[in-house]
Amino acid sequence: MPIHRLLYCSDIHIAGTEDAVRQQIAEIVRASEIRNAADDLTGALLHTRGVFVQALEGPLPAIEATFERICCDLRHRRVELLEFVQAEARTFGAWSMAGIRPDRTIGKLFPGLEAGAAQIAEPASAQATISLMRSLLIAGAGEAAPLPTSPAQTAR
Amino acid sequence: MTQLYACVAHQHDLRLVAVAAVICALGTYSTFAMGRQVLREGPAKDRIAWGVTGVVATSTAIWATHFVAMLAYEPSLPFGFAVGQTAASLLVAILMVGLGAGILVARRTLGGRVCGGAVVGLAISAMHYTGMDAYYVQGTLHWETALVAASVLVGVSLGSLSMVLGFSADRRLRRLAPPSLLAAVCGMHFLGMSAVTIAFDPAVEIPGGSLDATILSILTANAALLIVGLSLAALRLWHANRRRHEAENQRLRDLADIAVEGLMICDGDTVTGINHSLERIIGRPREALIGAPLQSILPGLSTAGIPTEQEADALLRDGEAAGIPVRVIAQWITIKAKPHLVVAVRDQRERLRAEAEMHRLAHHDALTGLANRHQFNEALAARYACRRGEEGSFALLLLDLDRFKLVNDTLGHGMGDELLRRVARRLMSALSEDDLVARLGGDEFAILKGGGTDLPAIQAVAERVNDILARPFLIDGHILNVGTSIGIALAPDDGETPDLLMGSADLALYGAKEEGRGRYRMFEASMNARIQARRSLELDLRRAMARQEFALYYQPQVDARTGTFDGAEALIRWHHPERGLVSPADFIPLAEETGLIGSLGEWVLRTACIEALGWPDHLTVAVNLSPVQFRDARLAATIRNILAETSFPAARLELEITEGSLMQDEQRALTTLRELRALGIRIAMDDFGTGYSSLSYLGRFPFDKIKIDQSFVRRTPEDKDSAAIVRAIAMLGASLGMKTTAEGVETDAQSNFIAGEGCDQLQGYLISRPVPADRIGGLFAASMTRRASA
Repeated sequence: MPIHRLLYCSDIHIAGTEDAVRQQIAEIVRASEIRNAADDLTGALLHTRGVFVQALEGPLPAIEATFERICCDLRHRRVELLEFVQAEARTFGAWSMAGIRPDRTIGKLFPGLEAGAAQIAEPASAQATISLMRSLLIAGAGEAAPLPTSPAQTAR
Repeated sequence: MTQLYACVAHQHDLRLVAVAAVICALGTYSTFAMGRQVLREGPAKDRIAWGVTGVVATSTAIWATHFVAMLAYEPSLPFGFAVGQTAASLLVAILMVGLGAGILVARRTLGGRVCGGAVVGLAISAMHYTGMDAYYVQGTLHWETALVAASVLVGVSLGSLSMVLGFSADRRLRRLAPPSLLAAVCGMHFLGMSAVTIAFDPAVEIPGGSLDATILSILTANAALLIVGLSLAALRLWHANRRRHEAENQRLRDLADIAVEGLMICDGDTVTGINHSLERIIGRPREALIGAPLQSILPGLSTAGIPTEQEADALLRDGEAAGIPVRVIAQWITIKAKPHLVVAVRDQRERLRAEAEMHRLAHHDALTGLANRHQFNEALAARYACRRGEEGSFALLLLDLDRFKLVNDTLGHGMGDELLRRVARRLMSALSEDDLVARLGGDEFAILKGGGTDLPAIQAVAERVNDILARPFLIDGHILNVGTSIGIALAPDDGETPDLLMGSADLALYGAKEEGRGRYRMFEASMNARIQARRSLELDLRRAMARQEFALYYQPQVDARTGTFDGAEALIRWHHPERGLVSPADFIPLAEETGLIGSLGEWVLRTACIEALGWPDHLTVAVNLSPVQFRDARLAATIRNILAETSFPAARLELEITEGSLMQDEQRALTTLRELRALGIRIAMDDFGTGYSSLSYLGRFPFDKIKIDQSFVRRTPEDKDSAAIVRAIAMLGASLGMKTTAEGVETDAQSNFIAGEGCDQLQGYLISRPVPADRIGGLFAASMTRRASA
């Protein structure tokens, strides 16, 4: 079955303290992890400096439905579609939804992330962004203990 | 036992024993038949009558059994009966059976039955031994005490048993009751008889006045049979009567049950009957409702309160807290000579549900489920109706999708519909519950915001809507970027009435679109002034046609090399009675928007053809076509008709079109162009050089002429770029086999330069301003004379 991949970025629109925001994002990651597993979707959500960058891959109907849900979600602002293509294979096959929060060192290595979505929005850089997200995941920037109550997630 | 057998078999006439047994059997049968009547529900009077009948029939039967059996007893000695004791024995039987029956009725428990039955059993013994006292025989009676005791015991125990059986719940057990009572009577009697031995004693005399045994037996047997028979006949009659009555009631009930409406019969304010429908409506069984007061079913209504003429709305109380909406109407009828009220109850739930559904359908957009224009108008009107000062202020947002038409046209209506559904969902998620979102039709939506006119809050909503609809829609693998423009008007400041407010929001929406779409604009008063002007112009434009305020002016075109006239371009002029001369730049766009361009364009074509008929017949007339006209599929047919009507040669007609006509649907444009050229008409590309992709159009479309835009012509020959462009176009035309015309030629220098570059035709103030129809003829005629004289 052919799969599609989608990459978008958006401004994070969540009010509250840094901790509260982080907690909410962790909840978003966890909720989409469960839902994506059911829909045969995989992907990663990177968030840094008020910007979400999310990759989603899987069957077309599930991707379209999920993206529509995201587009109805007011915790995102200025949603911008960076890539929507048919893909040969999954890039994030191991993660139904991996949260990525690069630490400062990595962030500095990739100034594009720090500058926000505007720079990622170049179509040519969509593939680069996806590669970067995957590298970050493998390098271990996947979020450690997104919620103190669920240590099981650190396994990712 | 042997003694008992010997007593019955040898000492009795068995035929008479059989008679006694029959009487007894009938009697005991009637005992229980009557007994059941007593215990049946019914009027006390009837039950007492049945009780008395039963007691009399039972005791008579016991008494007769005894005497007939005594007749069957053959001691081979003369015998007789004392009248007094015989009568007394009957009385004893009646009294004691009555007592037993009384106990049975009073104590309807097992104990009561045992006890009552025992009393009845005792009655048998008491009757028997009283009866034996009336028995006179020529001898002395010797009693064996043990057997006497046994006879009493048998009577009592079997009597008890029969009553226990007779009133048990089990039908099969009840059947055993008459035989056991029969056994009690017979067993007691014959045991009692076997307890006695008679020793002949000639000294004993039968007293005078004693009854002859045979007569007594016949009398008692007949009397007993009569009484028992009559009572049984009465019972049978009663049963038949009851069955008929029940059948009648059942028929009435069946009739009532067939009715779809709920029916209820009331005696006074008490419910005495209810049909199946009403049972179902209320949801409780008939039994639970009959006997209840009317108010417990229809709260607040009395028999007098239910109308008999017209149905009235009422609330039916059912098990639930909320009542069932019904309509009721009543009618008086007479049942058993007593007026009763029949109340018809019609369940309104289905009708109300249907009405609600119809209301929903009428108020909602079937595609998106949002409110429709109808409901929106109602809601808006309601806001105005209950407006009170500051609290009544609110915002109206009008939305129009920016690129919906494109999706609908290119990807089909199915996609368009899905897009609209998703837009509706996104709108719902961007707004609060207090806001009313409606689809007014097409891709037009409206939001009625609740909660005041706090500007930052309204702007935040508008921004949110702009944002959420600017996000891409992914449908079936397509990425649709639609976006929306929003116009906002605040009530009541921006509109005293719903219509005015809508007008203001519409203007603001127009403003948002003009500013470049994908944004919102608040209404401003200046927008109003502009639209007012536009509206009045539109009104005037509509009238102008009828009032013949339009006229055609003609600007001549000359051969660039010889300077002789080639023809003229027809230009429309509007002489407004008050505004004076109105520029086509002001009214043509309006005519295009309002659709007036169709008839206006036709008028121009026809008039030009008629007026040019008077010109020398080598001169052409050029008419401009609006893109709107050009997109009309009937254009070629219309022009053919006009040519036929006016007899104007097609070869002398030239149509000028702009690039705008060719964009959007190139295939159709090409078809139209070919149709027109097939008529013999020439086509000129107007305003060449100002568009985007003019060069590519030149290659693809069959033009006869290129008109170089006057903006280049005016700058020649001084401006090098313009000069280069003019030169290039002239060359291009020459190489493509198309004529070139320079418009806006004003000076001799321009004329010389352009002619020198190889342009074919000149048009402009240098040659002539546009002149009215009556003067162009003179102009042409003069030139003809000049040419002729030259």
